[in-house]
Amino acid sequence: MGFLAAIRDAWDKGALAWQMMVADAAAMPGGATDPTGPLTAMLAPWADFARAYGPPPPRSAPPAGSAEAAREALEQVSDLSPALAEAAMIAAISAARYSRALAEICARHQGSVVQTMLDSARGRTASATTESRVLIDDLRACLREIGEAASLEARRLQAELDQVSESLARAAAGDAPPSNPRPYRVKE
Amino acid sequence: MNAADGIAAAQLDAASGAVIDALGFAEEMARLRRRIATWVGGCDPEMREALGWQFLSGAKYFRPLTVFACHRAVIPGPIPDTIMAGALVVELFHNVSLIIDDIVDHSDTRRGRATLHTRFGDLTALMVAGYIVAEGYALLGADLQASGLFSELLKRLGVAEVMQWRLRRQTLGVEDWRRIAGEDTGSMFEICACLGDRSLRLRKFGGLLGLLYHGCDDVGDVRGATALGGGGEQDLRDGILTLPAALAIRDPAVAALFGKPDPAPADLAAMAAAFAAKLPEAEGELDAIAAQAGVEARLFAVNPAPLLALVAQTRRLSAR
Repeated sequence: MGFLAAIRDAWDKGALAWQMMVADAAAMPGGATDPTGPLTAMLAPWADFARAYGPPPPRSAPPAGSAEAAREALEQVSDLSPALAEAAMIAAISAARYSRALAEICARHQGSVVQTMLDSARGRTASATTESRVLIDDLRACLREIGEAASLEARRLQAELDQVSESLARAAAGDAPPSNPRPYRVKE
Repeated sequence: MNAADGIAAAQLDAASGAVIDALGFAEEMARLRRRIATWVGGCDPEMREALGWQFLSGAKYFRPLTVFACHRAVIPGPIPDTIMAGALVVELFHNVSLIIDDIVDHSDTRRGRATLHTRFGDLTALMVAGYIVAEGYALLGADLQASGLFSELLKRLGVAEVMQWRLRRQTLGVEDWRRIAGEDTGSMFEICACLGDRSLRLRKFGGLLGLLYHGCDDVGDVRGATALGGGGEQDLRDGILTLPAALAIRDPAVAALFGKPDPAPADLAAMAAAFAAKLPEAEGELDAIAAQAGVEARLFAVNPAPLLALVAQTRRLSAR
Protein backbone atom coordinates (compact mmCIF):
# COMPACT_ATOMS: atom_id res chain seq x y z
CA MET A 1 0.00 0.00 0.00
CA GLY A 2 3.06 2.25 0.21
CA PHE A 3 2.94 2.47 -3.55
CA LEU A 4 -0.67 3.68 -3.51
CA ALA A 5 0.20 6.30 -0.96
CA ALA A 6 3.12 7.46 -3.07
CA ILE A 7 0.91 7.76 -6.14
CA ARG A 8 -1.71 9.64 -4.15
CA ASP A 9 0.95 11.94 -2.78
CA ALA A 10 2.36 12.66 -6.23
CA TRP A 11 -1.10 13.38 -7.62
CA ASP A 12 -2.01 15.64 -4.72
CA LYS A 13 1.21 17.58 -4.95
CA GLY A 14 1.05 17.92 -8.72
CA ALA A 15 -2.58 19.04 -8.63
CA LEU A 16 -2.02 21.50 -5.79
CA ALA A 17 1.04 22.97 -7.45
CA TRP A 18 -0.95 23.32 -10.64
CA GLN A 19 -3.79 25.02 -8.75
CA MET A 20 -1.32 27.47 -7.24
CA MET A 21 0.10 28.33 -10.62
CA VAL A 22 -3.39 28.84 -12.01
CA ALA A 23 -4.33 30.97 -8.99
CA ASP A 24 -1.25 33.12 -9.54
CA ALA A 25 -2.12 33.48 -13.23
CA ALA A 26 -5.74 34.34 -12.38
CA ALA A 27 -4.57 37.06 -9.99
CA MET A 28 -2.82 38.80 -12.86
CA PRO A 29 -4.78 41.14 -15.17
CA GLY A 30 -6.73 39.04 -17.71
CA GLY A 31 -5.86 35.89 -15.72
CA ALA A 32 -6.97 32.34 -16.49
CA THR A 33 -9.65 30.24 -14.82
CA ASP A 34 -8.92 27.02 -12.91
CA PRO A 35 -9.26 23.97 -15.17
CA THR A 36 -8.57 21.52 -12.33
CA GLY A 37 -12.08 21.52 -10.84
CA PRO A 38 -13.13 18.42 -12.80
CA LEU A 39 -9.70 16.93 -12.16
CA THR A 40 -10.05 17.26 -8.39
CA ALA A 41 -13.50 15.71 -8.49
CA MET A 42 -12.27 12.89 -10.65
CA LEU A 43 -9.25 12.12 -8.50
CA ALA A 44 -11.07 12.32 -5.18
CA PRO A 45 -12.24 8.67 -5.12
CA TRP A 46 -8.71 7.47 -5.93
CA ALA A 47 -7.20 9.64 -3.25
CA ASP A 48 -9.79 8.38 -0.74
CA PHE A 49 -8.99 4.81 -1.72
CA ALA A 50 -5.29 5.36 -1.23
CA ARG A 51 -5.88 7.09 2.12
CA ALA A 52 -8.07 4.21 3.30
CA TYR A 53 -5.54 1.53 2.45
CA GLY A 54 -2.24 3.39 2.56
CA PRO A 55 -0.08 4.16 5.61
CA PRO A 56 -0.89 7.24 7.71
CA PRO A 57 0.67 10.53 6.57
CA PRO A 58 4.16 10.97 8.05
CA ARG A 59 3.39 14.33 9.66
CA SER A 60 0.47 16.58 10.46
CA ALA A 61 -0.70 18.48 7.42
CA PRO A 62 -2.30 21.92 7.30
CA PRO A 63 -6.04 22.04 6.53
CA ALA A 64 -6.70 20.80 3.03
CA GLY A 65 -7.35 23.55 0.49
CA SER A 66 -5.75 26.25 2.62
CA ALA A 67 -3.15 28.61 1.17
CA GLU A 68 -0.64 27.16 3.60
CA ALA A 69 -1.29 23.63 2.34
CA ALA A 70 -0.89 24.71 -1.26
CA ARG A 71 2.37 26.54 -0.54
CA GLU A 72 3.70 23.55 1.38
CA ALA A 73 2.76 21.25 -1.47
CA LEU A 74 4.62 23.43 -3.92
CA GLU A 75 7.69 23.34 -1.70
CA GLN A 76 7.45 19.57 -1.45
CA VAL A 77 7.19 19.25 -5.20
CA SER A 78 10.46 21.16 -5.45
CA ASP A 79 11.98 18.89 -2.82
CA LEU A 80 11.09 15.76 -4.75
CA SER A 81 13.25 14.51 -7.54
CA PRO A 82 12.71 17.06 -10.34
CA ALA A 83 11.78 14.21 -12.65
CA LEU A 84 9.09 12.91 -10.29
CA ALA A 85 7.72 16.41 -9.84
CA GLU A 86 7.64 16.84 -13.59
CA ALA A 87 5.88 13.50 -14.00
CA ALA A 88 3.28 14.46 -11.39
CA MET A 89 2.68 17.73 -13.18
CA ILE A 90 2.41 16.02 -16.55
CA ALA A 91 -0.11 13.53 -15.16
CA ALA A 92 -2.22 16.25 -13.55
CA ILE A 93 -2.24 18.34 -16.73
CA SER A 94 -3.08 15.26 -18.78
CA ALA A 95 -6.10 14.49 -16.61
CA ALA A 96 -7.28 18.10 -16.85
CA ARG A 97 -6.83 18.05 -20.62
CA TYR A 98 -8.81 14.81 -20.93
CA SER A 99 -11.63 16.29 -18.82
CA ARG A 100 -11.74 19.29 -21.13
CA ALA A 101 -11.78 17.08 -24.23
CA LEU A 102 -14.69 15.08 -22.81
CA ALA A 103 -16.57 18.28 -22.00
CA GLU A 104 -16.04 19.53 -25.56
CA ILE A 105 -17.29 16.27 -27.07
CA CYS A 106 -20.37 16.25 -24.87
CA ALA A 107 -21.08 19.88 -25.73
CA ARG A 108 -20.75 19.15 -29.44
CA HIS A 109 -23.17 16.23 -29.29
CA GLN A 110 -25.47 17.39 -26.52
CA GLY A 111 -28.36 18.03 -28.91
CA SER A 112 -28.43 14.38 -29.98
CA VAL A 113 -27.98 13.10 -26.44
CA VAL A 114 -30.80 15.26 -25.10
CA GLN A 115 -33.07 14.30 -28.00
CA THR A 116 -32.44 10.60 -27.38
CA MET A 117 -33.18 10.97 -23.69
CA LEU A 118 -36.41 12.85 -24.45
CA ASP A 119 -37.47 10.21 -26.98
CA SER A 120 -36.73 7.49 -24.47
CA ALA A 121 -38.71 9.26 -21.76
CA ARG A 122 -41.66 9.58 -24.14
CA GLY A 123 -41.42 5.89 -25.01
CA ARG A 124 -40.46 6.59 -28.65
CA THR A 125 -37.98 4.30 -30.31
CA ALA A 126 -35.80 4.99 -33.31
CA SER A 127 -37.75 4.79 -36.54
CA ALA A 128 -36.68 4.88 -40.16
CA THR A 129 -36.88 8.66 -40.51
CA THR A 130 -34.09 10.88 -41.73
CA GLU A 131 -33.97 12.54 -38.30
CA SER A 132 -33.58 9.28 -36.44
CA ARG A 133 -30.77 8.12 -38.72
CA VAL A 134 -28.91 11.39 -38.26
CA LEU A 135 -29.44 11.09 -34.51
CA ILE A 136 -28.11 7.54 -34.34
CA ASP A 137 -25.07 8.41 -36.46
CA ASP A 138 -24.35 11.40 -34.24
CA LEU A 139 -24.64 9.35 -31.04
CA ARG A 140 -22.29 6.73 -32.45
CA ALA A 141 -19.87 9.47 -33.45
CA CYS A 142 -20.05 10.81 -29.89
CA LEU A 143 -19.16 7.39 -28.45
CA ARG A 144 -16.31 6.95 -30.91
CA GLU A 145 -14.92 10.39 -30.13
CA ILE A 146 -15.00 9.68 -26.39
CA GLY A 147 -13.00 6.51 -26.97
CA GLU A 148 -10.59 8.28 -29.30
CA ALA A 149 -10.07 11.10 -26.82
CA ALA A 150 -9.14 8.56 -24.14
CA SER A 151 -6.77 6.77 -26.48
CA LEU A 152 -5.17 10.00 -27.69
CA GLU A 153 -4.65 11.31 -24.18
CA ALA A 154 -3.25 7.98 -22.95
CA ARG A 155 -0.76 7.87 -25.82
CA ARG A 156 0.16 11.51 -25.29
CA LEU A 157 0.71 10.93 -21.56
CA GLN A 158 2.77 7.85 -22.29
CA ALA A 159 4.94 9.78 -24.75
CA GLU A 160 5.49 12.63 -22.28
CA LEU A 161 6.32 10.27 -19.42
CA ASP A 162 8.67 8.37 -21.76
CA GLN A 163 10.60 11.60 -22.25
CA VAL A 164 10.92 12.09 -18.49
CA SER A 165 12.01 8.48 -18.13
CA GLU A 166 14.55 8.94 -20.90
CA SER A 167 16.00 12.05 -19.29
CA LEU A 168 16.25 10.15 -15.98
CA ALA A 169 18.09 7.31 -17.68
CA ARG A 170 20.46 9.72 -19.40
CA ALA A 171 21.12 11.59 -16.17
CA ALA A 172 21.84 8.30 -14.38
CA ALA A 173 24.24 7.30 -17.14
CA GLY A 174 25.86 10.75 -17.16
CA ASP A 175 25.40 11.00 -20.90
CA ALA A 176 24.87 14.12 -22.93
CA PRO A 177 21.54 14.13 -24.79
CA PRO A 178 21.97 12.57 -28.24
CA SER A 179 21.30 14.70 -31.29
CA ASN A 180 18.68 12.15 -32.34
CA PRO A 181 15.61 12.51 -30.11
CA ARG A 182 14.71 8.82 -30.32
CA PRO A 183 16.35 6.29 -28.03
CA TYR A 184 17.34 3.94 -30.82
CA ARG A 185 18.01 3.74 -34.53
CA VAL A 186 16.36 1.41 -36.97
CA LYS A 187 18.79 -1.30 -38.01
CA GLU A 188 20.59 -0.47 -41.23
CA MET B 1 5.65 -6.73 -73.76
CA ASN B 2 9.21 -7.76 -73.14
CA ALA B 3 8.71 -7.93 -69.38
CA ALA B 4 11.47 -6.29 -67.39
CA ASP B 5 14.10 -6.86 -70.06
CA GLY B 6 15.95 -3.66 -70.69
CA ILE B 7 13.88 -1.60 -68.23
CA ALA B 8 16.06 0.07 -65.60
CA ALA B 9 13.27 1.33 -63.35
CA ALA B 10 9.51 1.09 -62.89
CA GLN B 11 7.69 4.04 -64.46
CA LEU B 12 5.99 6.69 -62.39
CA ASP B 13 2.48 8.11 -62.77
CA ALA B 14 2.96 11.67 -64.12
CA ALA B 15 0.92 13.45 -61.43
CA SER B 16 2.71 11.67 -58.59
CA GLY B 17 6.15 12.90 -59.63
CA ALA B 18 5.40 16.45 -58.52
CA VAL B 19 4.18 15.27 -55.12
CA ILE B 20 7.25 13.12 -54.59
CA ASP B 21 9.51 16.05 -55.52
CA ALA B 22 7.60 18.38 -53.23
CA LEU B 23 8.11 15.99 -50.31
CA GLY B 24 11.80 15.65 -51.14
CA PHE B 25 11.81 11.94 -51.89
CA ALA B 26 12.80 11.95 -55.56
CA GLU B 27 16.07 10.12 -54.91
CA GLU B 28 14.45 7.54 -52.61
CA MET B 29 11.65 6.92 -55.09
CA ALA B 30 14.18 6.45 -57.90
CA ARG B 31 15.94 3.86 -55.69
CA LEU B 32 12.65 2.10 -55.05
CA ARG B 33 11.75 2.00 -58.75
CA ARG B 34 15.15 0.55 -59.59
CA ARG B 35 14.66 -2.09 -56.89
CA ILE B 36 11.27 -3.02 -58.33
CA ALA B 37 12.78 -3.42 -61.80
CA THR B 38 15.67 -5.48 -60.42
CA TRP B 39 13.26 -7.65 -58.46
CA VAL B 40 11.05 -8.27 -61.52
CA GLY B 41 14.13 -9.10 -63.55
CA GLY B 42 15.22 -11.68 -60.97
CA CYS B 43 11.86 -13.48 -60.74
CA ASP B 44 11.07 -16.81 -62.37
CA PRO B 45 11.04 -16.39 -66.18
CA GLU B 46 7.54 -17.92 -66.24
CA MET B 47 6.22 -15.01 -64.18
CA ARG B 48 8.43 -12.21 -65.43
CA GLU B 49 6.32 -10.95 -68.31
CA ALA B 50 3.17 -10.72 -66.20
CA LEU B 51 5.05 -9.07 -63.33
CA GLY B 52 6.56 -6.56 -65.74
CA TRP B 53 3.09 -5.77 -67.05
CA GLN B 54 1.79 -5.17 -63.55
CA PHE B 55 4.71 -3.27 -62.04
CA LEU B 56 6.65 -1.36 -64.60
CA SER B 57 4.28 1.40 -65.62
CA GLY B 58 2.25 4.24 -64.24
CA ALA B 59 2.07 3.57 -60.49
CA LYS B 60 1.41 6.35 -57.98
CA TYR B 61 3.66 4.91 -55.22
CA PHE B 62 1.63 6.72 -52.58
CA ARG B 63 2.06 3.91 -50.05
CA PRO B 64 5.87 3.77 -50.26
CA LEU B 65 5.80 7.56 -50.10
CA THR B 66 3.88 7.26 -46.83
CA VAL B 67 6.50 4.84 -45.48
CA PHE B 68 9.29 7.30 -46.36
CA ALA B 69 7.44 10.30 -44.94
CA CYS B 70 6.70 8.53 -41.65
CA HIS B 71 10.34 7.53 -41.32
CA ARG B 72 11.58 11.05 -42.10
CA ALA B 73 9.08 12.44 -39.57
CA VAL B 74 10.93 10.68 -36.76
CA ILE B 75 14.49 10.19 -38.00
CA PRO B 76 16.35 12.64 -40.24
CA GLY B 77 18.75 11.52 -42.93
CA PRO B 78 18.71 8.96 -45.71
CA ILE B 79 16.19 6.10 -45.81
CA PRO B 80 17.88 2.90 -44.55
CA ASP B 81 17.70 -0.38 -46.48
CA THR B 82 15.31 -1.96 -43.95
CA ILE B 83 12.79 0.82 -44.49
CA MET B 84 13.31 0.67 -48.25
CA ALA B 85 12.56 -3.07 -48.20
CA GLY B 86 9.33 -2.42 -46.29
CA ALA B 87 8.33 0.22 -48.86
CA LEU B 88 9.03 -2.20 -51.69
CA VAL B 89 6.94 -4.97 -50.12
CA VAL B 90 4.07 -2.54 -49.42
CA GLU B 91 3.98 -1.69 -53.12
CA LEU B 92 4.04 -5.41 -53.94
CA PHE B 93 1.18 -6.24 -51.58
CA HIS B 94 -0.82 -3.24 -52.76
CA ASN B 95 -0.58 -4.65 -56.28
CA VAL B 96 -1.84 -8.02 -55.02
CA SER B 97 -4.98 -6.25 -53.81
CA LEU B 98 -5.31 -4.45 -57.17
CA ILE B 99 -4.98 -7.69 -59.15
CA ILE B 100 -7.67 -9.40 -57.05
CA ASP B 101 -9.93 -6.32 -57.15
CA ASP B 102 -9.68 -6.22 -60.94
CA ILE B 103 -10.58 -9.91 -61.25
CA VAL B 104 -13.55 -9.61 -58.85
CA ASP B 105 -14.80 -6.38 -60.46
CA HIS B 106 -14.23 -7.69 -64.02
CA SER B 107 -12.26 -4.52 -64.72
CA ASP B 108 -10.78 -4.39 -68.19
CA THR B 109 -8.35 -1.53 -67.71
CA ARG B 110 -6.20 0.01 -65.01
CA ARG B 111 -3.75 2.89 -65.34
CA GLY B 112 -4.88 3.28 -68.94
CA ARG B 113 -3.98 -0.23 -70.07
CA ALA B 114 -5.35 -3.78 -69.89
CA THR B 115 -5.57 -5.30 -66.43
CA LEU B 116 -3.37 -8.30 -65.66
CA HIS B 117 -6.17 -10.87 -65.91
CA THR B 118 -7.45 -9.33 -69.15
CA ARG B 119 -3.98 -9.58 -70.68
CA PHE B 120 -2.84 -12.94 -69.27
CA GLY B 121 -6.02 -14.67 -68.03
CA ASP B 122 -7.49 -15.27 -64.57
CA LEU B 123 -5.30 -18.24 -63.70
CA THR B 124 -2.05 -16.42 -64.40
CA ALA B 125 -3.28 -13.32 -62.55
CA LEU B 126 -4.22 -15.35 -59.47
CA MET B 127 -0.97 -17.28 -59.48
CA VAL B 128 1.03 -14.07 -59.92
CA ALA B 129 -0.79 -12.63 -56.88
CA GLY B 130 0.25 -15.63 -54.77
CA TYR B 131 3.79 -15.48 -56.13
CA ILE B 132 4.08 -11.80 -55.17
CA VAL B 133 3.01 -12.51 -51.57
CA ALA B 134 5.59 -15.27 -51.21
CA GLU B 135 8.27 -13.05 -52.75
CA GLY B 136 7.30 -10.22 -50.44
CA TYR B 137 7.92 -12.28 -47.32
CA ALA B 138 11.21 -13.54 -48.78
CA LEU B 139 12.33 -9.95 -49.43
CA LEU B 140 11.73 -9.06 -45.78
CA GLY B 141 14.35 -11.59 -44.69
CA ALA B 142 14.89 -11.54 -40.93
CA ASP B 143 12.83 -8.41 -40.31
CA LEU B 144 10.31 -10.11 -38.02
CA GLN B 145 8.53 -6.90 -37.07
CA ALA B 146 7.81 -6.15 -40.72
CA SER B 147 6.68 -9.75 -41.31
CA GLY B 148 4.20 -9.41 -38.45
CA LEU B 149 2.92 -6.11 -39.82
CA PHE B 150 2.39 -7.57 -43.29
CA SER B 151 0.57 -10.59 -41.86
CA GLU B 152 -1.71 -8.20 -40.00
CA LEU B 153 -2.25 -6.24 -43.20
CA LEU B 154 -3.21 -9.22 -45.36
CA LYS B 155 -5.65 -10.51 -42.75
CA ARG B 156 -7.29 -7.13 -42.26
CA LEU B 157 -7.58 -6.46 -45.98
CA GLY B 158 -9.25 -9.84 -46.46
CA VAL B 159 -11.68 -9.26 -43.62
CA ALA B 160 -12.47 -5.74 -44.87
CA GLU B 161 -13.29 -6.93 -48.38
CA VAL B 162 -15.58 -9.69 -47.11
CA MET B 163 -17.26 -7.28 -44.67
CA GLN B 164 -17.73 -4.61 -47.34
CA TRP B 165 -19.33 -7.12 -49.70
CA ARG B 166 -21.57 -8.59 -46.99
CA LEU B 167 -22.81 -5.14 -45.98
CA ARG B 168 -23.58 -3.89 -49.50
CA ARG B 169 -27.01 -2.36 -50.17
CA GLN B 170 -27.71 -2.07 -46.44
CA THR B 171 -28.91 1.14 -44.83
CA LEU B 172 -25.90 1.94 -42.69
CA GLY B 173 -24.36 5.17 -41.43
CA VAL B 174 -21.20 7.25 -41.52
CA GLU B 175 -19.82 5.37 -38.53
CA ASP B 176 -20.17 2.11 -40.47
CA TRP B 177 -18.39 3.72 -43.40
CA ARG B 178 -15.55 4.73 -41.07
CA ARG B 179 -15.24 1.16 -39.82
CA ILE B 180 -15.16 -0.38 -43.30
CA ALA B 181 -12.83 2.25 -44.76
CA GLY B 182 -10.64 2.10 -41.67
CA GLU B 183 -10.11 -1.62 -42.13
CA ASP B 184 -9.74 -1.40 -45.89
CA THR B 185 -7.57 1.54 -46.96
CA GLY B 186 -7.00 2.55 -43.34
CA SER B 187 -5.22 -0.70 -42.47
CA MET B 188 -2.90 -0.33 -45.47
CA PHE B 189 -1.75 3.14 -44.42
CA GLU B 190 -1.57 2.15 -40.76
CA ILE B 191 0.93 -0.50 -41.73
CA CYS B 192 2.81 1.98 -43.95
CA ALA B 193 3.16 4.29 -40.95
CA CYS B 194 4.38 1.45 -38.73
CA LEU B 195 6.89 0.35 -41.37
CA GLY B 196 8.30 3.87 -41.53
CA ASP B 197 8.29 4.56 -37.80
CA ARG B 198 8.98 1.31 -36.01
CA SER B 199 8.01 2.75 -32.61
CA LEU B 200 4.38 2.48 -33.87
CA ARG B 201 3.53 5.93 -32.52
CA LEU B 202 2.31 7.00 -35.96
CA ARG B 203 -0.07 4.06 -36.36
CA LYS B 204 -3.15 6.16 -35.68
CA PHE B 205 -1.89 8.85 -38.03
CA GLY B 206 -1.54 6.22 -40.76
CA GLY B 207 -5.06 4.94 -40.14
CA LEU B 208 -6.48 8.44 -40.43
CA LEU B 209 -4.49 9.11 -43.60
CA GLY B 210 -5.93 5.90 -45.10
CA LEU B 211 -9.44 6.87 -44.04
CA LEU B 212 -8.91 10.26 -45.65
CA TYR B 213 -7.59 8.67 -48.84
CA HIS B 214 -10.58 6.30 -48.98
CA GLY B 215 -13.04 9.16 -48.40
CA CYS B 216 -11.39 11.39 -50.99
CA ASP B 217 -11.58 8.49 -53.45
CA ASP B 218 -15.32 8.14 -52.70
CA VAL B 219 -15.95 11.85 -53.17
CA GLY B 220 -13.72 12.00 -56.26
CA ASP B 221 -15.73 9.16 -57.80
CA VAL B 222 -18.97 11.05 -57.31
CA ARG B 223 -17.42 14.10 -58.90
CA GLY B 224 -16.63 11.88 -61.85
CA ALA B 225 -12.93 12.00 -61.24
CA THR B 226 -10.76 9.18 -62.49
CA ALA B 227 -7.51 10.25 -60.92
CA LEU B 228 -7.79 7.80 -58.02
CA GLY B 229 -8.81 4.80 -60.07
CA GLY B 230 -12.48 5.47 -60.69
CA GLY B 231 -15.10 2.85 -59.91
CA GLY B 232 -17.90 5.20 -58.84
CA GLU B 233 -20.55 3.75 -61.12
CA GLN B 234 -19.63 0.18 -60.18
CA ASP B 235 -19.85 1.05 -56.48
CA LEU B 236 -23.28 2.58 -57.10
CA ARG B 237 -24.50 -0.51 -58.94
CA ASP B 238 -23.11 -2.85 -56.25
CA GLY B 239 -24.55 -0.81 -53.38
CA ILE B 240 -21.13 -0.20 -51.82
CA LEU B 241 -21.21 2.07 -48.77
CA THR B 242 -19.17 5.11 -49.81
CA LEU B 243 -19.02 8.30 -47.74
CA PRO B 244 -21.51 10.24 -49.91
CA ALA B 245 -23.76 7.15 -49.92
CA ALA B 246 -23.70 6.89 -46.12
CA LEU B 247 -24.83 10.53 -45.89
CA ALA B 248 -27.43 10.30 -48.66
CA ILE B 249 -29.17 7.13 -47.47
CA ARG B 250 -30.20 8.85 -44.27
CA ASP B 251 -33.12 9.86 -46.49
CA PRO B 252 -35.43 6.79 -46.49
CA ALA B 253 -36.35 7.34 -50.16
CA VAL B 254 -32.69 7.19 -51.21
CA ALA B 255 -32.13 4.24 -48.85
CA ALA B 256 -34.91 2.33 -50.65
CA LEU B 257 -33.18 2.86 -54.01
CA PHE B 258 -29.81 1.95 -52.51
CA GLY B 259 -31.20 -1.36 -51.25
CA LYS B 260 -32.48 -2.52 -54.64
CA PRO B 261 -30.56 -5.61 -55.83
CA ASP B 262 -30.92 -4.66 -59.49
CA PRO B 263 -31.39 -0.90 -59.80
CA ALA B 264 -32.76 0.49 -63.06
CA PRO B 265 -30.86 3.27 -64.89
CA ALA B 266 -33.32 5.82 -63.51
CA ASP B 267 -32.63 4.57 -59.97
CA LEU B 268 -28.89 4.90 -60.53
CA ALA B 269 -29.36 8.43 -61.84
CA ALA B 270 -31.50 9.40 -58.85
CA MET B 271 -28.92 7.95 -56.44
CA ALA B 272 -26.06 9.70 -58.22
CA ALA B 273 -27.92 13.01 -57.86
CA ALA B 274 -28.62 12.34 -54.17
CA PHE B 275 -24.98 11.47 -53.54
CA ALA B 276 -23.80 14.59 -55.37
CA ALA B 277 -26.07 16.71 -53.18
CA LYS B 278 -24.21 15.39 -50.14
CA LEU B 279 -20.74 16.34 -51.38
CA PRO B 280 -20.42 19.50 -49.24
CA GLU B 281 -21.28 17.47 -46.13
CA ALA B 282 -18.84 14.75 -47.19
CA GLU B 283 -16.11 17.36 -47.67
CA GLY B 284 -16.81 18.55 -44.12
CA GLU B 285 -16.29 15.01 -42.80
CA LEU B 286 -13.03 14.78 -44.75
CA ASP B 287 -11.85 18.12 -43.34
CA ALA B 288 -12.46 16.77 -39.83
CA ILE B 289 -10.48 13.59 -40.58
CA ALA B 290 -7.63 15.66 -42.05
CA ALA B 291 -7.60 17.88 -38.96
CA GLN B 292 -7.47 14.80 -36.70
CA ALA B 293 -4.54 13.41 -38.72
CA GLY B 294 -2.80 16.77 -38.32
CA VAL B 295 -3.18 16.59 -34.53
CA GLU B 296 -1.65 13.11 -34.50
CA ALA B 297 1.27 14.29 -36.66
CA ARG B 298 1.99 17.30 -34.47
CA LEU B 299 1.79 15.31 -31.23
CA PHE B 300 3.70 12.18 -32.16
CA ALA B 301 6.23 13.11 -34.86
CA VAL B 302 9.55 14.77 -34.16
CA ASN B 303 9.25 16.57 -37.49
CA PRO B 304 5.58 16.67 -38.58
CA ALA B 305 6.23 18.61 -41.80
CA PRO B 306 6.34 15.61 -44.20
CA LEU B 307 3.21 14.16 -42.62
CA LEU B 308 1.29 17.42 -42.84
CA ALA B 309 2.30 17.70 -46.50
CA LEU B 310 1.03 14.16 -47.07
CA VAL B 311 -2.30 15.01 -45.45
CA ALA B 312 -2.63 18.19 -47.52
CA GLN B 313 -1.83 16.30 -50.71
CA THR B 314 -4.33 13.54 -49.91
CA ARG B 315 -7.01 16.06 -49.03
CA ARG B 316 -6.66 17.68 -52.45
CA LEU B 317 -7.43 14.38 -54.19
CA SER B 318 -11.19 14.68 -53.72
CA ALA B 319 -11.23 17.74 -55.96
CA ARG B 320 -9.41 16.08 -58.85
